[in-house]
Amino acid sequence: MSDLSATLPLSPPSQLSVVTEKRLIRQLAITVALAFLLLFLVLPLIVVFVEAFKRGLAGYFAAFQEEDALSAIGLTLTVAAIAVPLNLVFGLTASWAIAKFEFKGKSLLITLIDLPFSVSPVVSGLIYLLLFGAQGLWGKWLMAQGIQIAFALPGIVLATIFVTFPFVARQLIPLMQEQGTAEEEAALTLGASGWRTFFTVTLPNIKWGLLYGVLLCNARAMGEFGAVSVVSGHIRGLTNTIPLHVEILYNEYNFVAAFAVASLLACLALITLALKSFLEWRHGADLAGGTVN
Amino acid sequence: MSSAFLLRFKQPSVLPGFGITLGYTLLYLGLIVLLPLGALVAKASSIGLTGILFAAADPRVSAALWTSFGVSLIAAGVASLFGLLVAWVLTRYDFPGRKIVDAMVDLPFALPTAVAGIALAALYAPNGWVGAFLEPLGIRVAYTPLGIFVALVFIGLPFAVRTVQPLIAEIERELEEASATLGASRWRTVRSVLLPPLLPGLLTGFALAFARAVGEYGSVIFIAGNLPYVSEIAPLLIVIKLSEYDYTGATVIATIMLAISFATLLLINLIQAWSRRRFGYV
Amino acid sequence: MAQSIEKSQAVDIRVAGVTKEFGDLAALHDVHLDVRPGELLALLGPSGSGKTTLLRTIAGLVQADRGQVLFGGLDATHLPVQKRQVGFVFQHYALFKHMSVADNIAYGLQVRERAKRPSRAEIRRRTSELLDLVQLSGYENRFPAQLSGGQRQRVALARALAVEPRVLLLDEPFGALDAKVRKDLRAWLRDIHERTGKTTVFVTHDQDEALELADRVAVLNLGRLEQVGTPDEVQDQPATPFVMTFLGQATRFAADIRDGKVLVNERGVRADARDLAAGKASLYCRPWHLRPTPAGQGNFQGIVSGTRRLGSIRRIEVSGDDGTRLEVEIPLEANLQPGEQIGLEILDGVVFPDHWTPR
Repeated sequence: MSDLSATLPLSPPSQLSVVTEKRLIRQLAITVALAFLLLFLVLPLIVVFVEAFKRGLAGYFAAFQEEDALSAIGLTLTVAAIAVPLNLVFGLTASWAIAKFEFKGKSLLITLIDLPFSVSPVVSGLIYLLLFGAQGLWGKWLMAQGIQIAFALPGIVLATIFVTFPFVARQLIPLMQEQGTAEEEAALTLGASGWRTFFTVTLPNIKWGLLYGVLLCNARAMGEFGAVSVVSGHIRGLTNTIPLHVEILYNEYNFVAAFAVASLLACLALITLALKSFLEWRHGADLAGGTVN
Repeated sequence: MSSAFLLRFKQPSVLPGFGITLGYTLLYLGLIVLLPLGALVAKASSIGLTGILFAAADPRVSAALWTSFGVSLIAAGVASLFGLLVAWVLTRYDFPGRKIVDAMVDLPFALPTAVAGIALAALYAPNGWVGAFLEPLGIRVAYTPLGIFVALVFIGLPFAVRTVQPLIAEIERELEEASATLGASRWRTVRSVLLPPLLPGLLTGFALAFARAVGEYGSVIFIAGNLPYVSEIAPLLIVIKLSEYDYTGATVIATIMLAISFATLLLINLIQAWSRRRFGYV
Repeated sequence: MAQSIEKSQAVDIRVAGVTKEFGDLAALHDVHLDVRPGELLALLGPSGSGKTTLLRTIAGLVQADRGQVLFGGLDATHLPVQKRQVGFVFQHYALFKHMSVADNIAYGLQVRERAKRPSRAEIRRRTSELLDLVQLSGYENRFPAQLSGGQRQRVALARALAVEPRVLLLDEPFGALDAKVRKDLRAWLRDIHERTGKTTVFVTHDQDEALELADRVAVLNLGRLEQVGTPDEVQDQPATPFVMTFLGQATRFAADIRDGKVLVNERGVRADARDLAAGKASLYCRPWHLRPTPAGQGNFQGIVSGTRRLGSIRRIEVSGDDGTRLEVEIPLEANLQPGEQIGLEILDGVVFPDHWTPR
């Protein structure tokens, strides 16, 4: 009975039923699923750390002594520090306009906001080169003005903003739609200003969803590879982010250093996952409406 | 904007800030997303349909496109199948560590693709932990199309799991009990009652995994070996064309890829609309 | 009416000493119940009384810890649910959303192994007959999402009947419907029952529904069977205080039993002392068992604290001198005003000894 009561957490215990798969089938299914996940998810994660520490702690930390590694970390932090707040502001304004008002063309707007998710990272980089690259639409003019966008920080930031564009908005729109406008209207009738209403009524209601969206946005911003690879030009020490630095080290057969630097990103991913699970566990209801990205 | 126009366009509301937030949203969307994508469309239309088809007929380009789409289809299928199993096990059975495993499913979303790429390459290389087992069996994963497949299954798995998982959780217990009281065996109940409602979600997950797999770059290039005509994927060919400053060649491949991924998304929406109309659920 | 829906040989259901525990909670405690062939029996009780668990135990959806379930003398205790041949109608209908109405009804026949499965034409014939029976002809190709609640309920019943079940079990059959539809479906269910002649058990928490519809009512409380009887029996001769209070409004008076007589506040009451031994007891009265008298007379003294008209009678609320509040039904012409001091005479009631233990 004990293993039966454990199945289907949704059904109340008093409604226990004898209807389920045979024990053997259940165990077989669990075994196959876990073996699959081990092979495809867990081992890749473990191998990163094992390879990173192959030459012990000293070998691990040697990877971070390098000038190029440090500048890559610096660049990644800079890019995230610009891209994430911009997308945060966009996410808030877009979700306010979309969730709190009824207007024509709304579903088209939502589709357009989702667009970057369905564009290959490489294509995301390409479209900026078509605008700002040497042979791009404005390339010649920009060169004449001495403005460098492609193969420089602005290009990397733009590509990163593009690939992380929908994260915050996507998290907030369903959440704010679900909460409706009654509370804001109440606040306004009580004499609160628009700003005050937003900060005292709307924001507290969406703060966990917002944090969740920012978290995912940040993880992607720091880890983006394809798009950044295309617009960066791979200039060592100048336009290399952490993922690009990992690629260079790997292609130079400097595996320990490559995995050591990669382990930073893997840790970021694990922290993101842990925070995400924690948020879902503690504030699951306040994240409702969140969908797969 | 005249108020009469505004009335027709937007329903009245006492909340402030509509104009400014919608204006900023459209401006930001236009600058970041629509303008650059417009540049791609402009470039593609300057090449013209015949130009695109001609460029796509290049053997190396068409080989890369076939590799990308073919392997993506198979990988999305396998990811959907195992995704269904994983989602089922996570939702319906209990076992130690279930919550952790559930959280781990999102790893491919969170782990940067380059990290996944080198990790999978190390794992499935002939001397890697898994590769070493497969080598004596004559199975070579790394540096072959099979390697692309492994990376794309990794990338597609969370899409497959997360689209069917809520559907499995929503299955009413009464449904399978009803089937049992009507005399159906357990396997019959699973086949006829429990799985069919999951089909639209399964298809959606498949399409999402496929769309993502076609465009995937970082996790594939390290394990694929990137042999032209064999294990070279379309996104990599874009990068190669760009490094040769062949913007036209890159645009052609990008346009074809975009067209197919948008067609996939359209298909998803059609599936969902059909399912909602017919059965009252997605 | 064709062969399949005509009255079949109805079987009796015997529940013998069934006990079921969920953790520490006793959901069913040593329940004995005999359902007669062809009978329409209601399992009535508040939520948590174990009525649904009992129904599910009969169906085989719940495996009892102890005790037996028999259909027509056949021990079904260890028969899996798939082989019990019960027709079960679920509270929320549990229709298969991805199947048309016809496919839902035919499902129980379709899933039979090839040797026992009727021909396709036969299945189609039976399906259309059942649709006819539940008055849904023409709805074959609809999907459940396109039906109203009452229509879904009827499809669920047709689906349960399609497999020619030994018995028909319904869990809160009208629970999810609004009041108007409920009333219509009650009469209709009674009619179906008469036409099919199946032994039928249904669960309800609504005493009106149970009393109006059932041949006999089984009242459950806290996992125990309190009483089984016809609607008249359970109303007129409730076996326990719980049955008395659950089936309608009842007021309790502390009473003494002396020399075979019932006394409240030392004044005799005409209630039947039922051969109870002398001692403390409780007397339970319905509102119409009480009659107002001039102050100082009767068994009980109090002040009228409110009056309400209910159709052809008037219900007054009386606050007793001892702090109790009770309701009395009086004829419309009796004119009592709030604030008036009155007495109450107890005309009748059911008496239970204190320290009463369930059998």
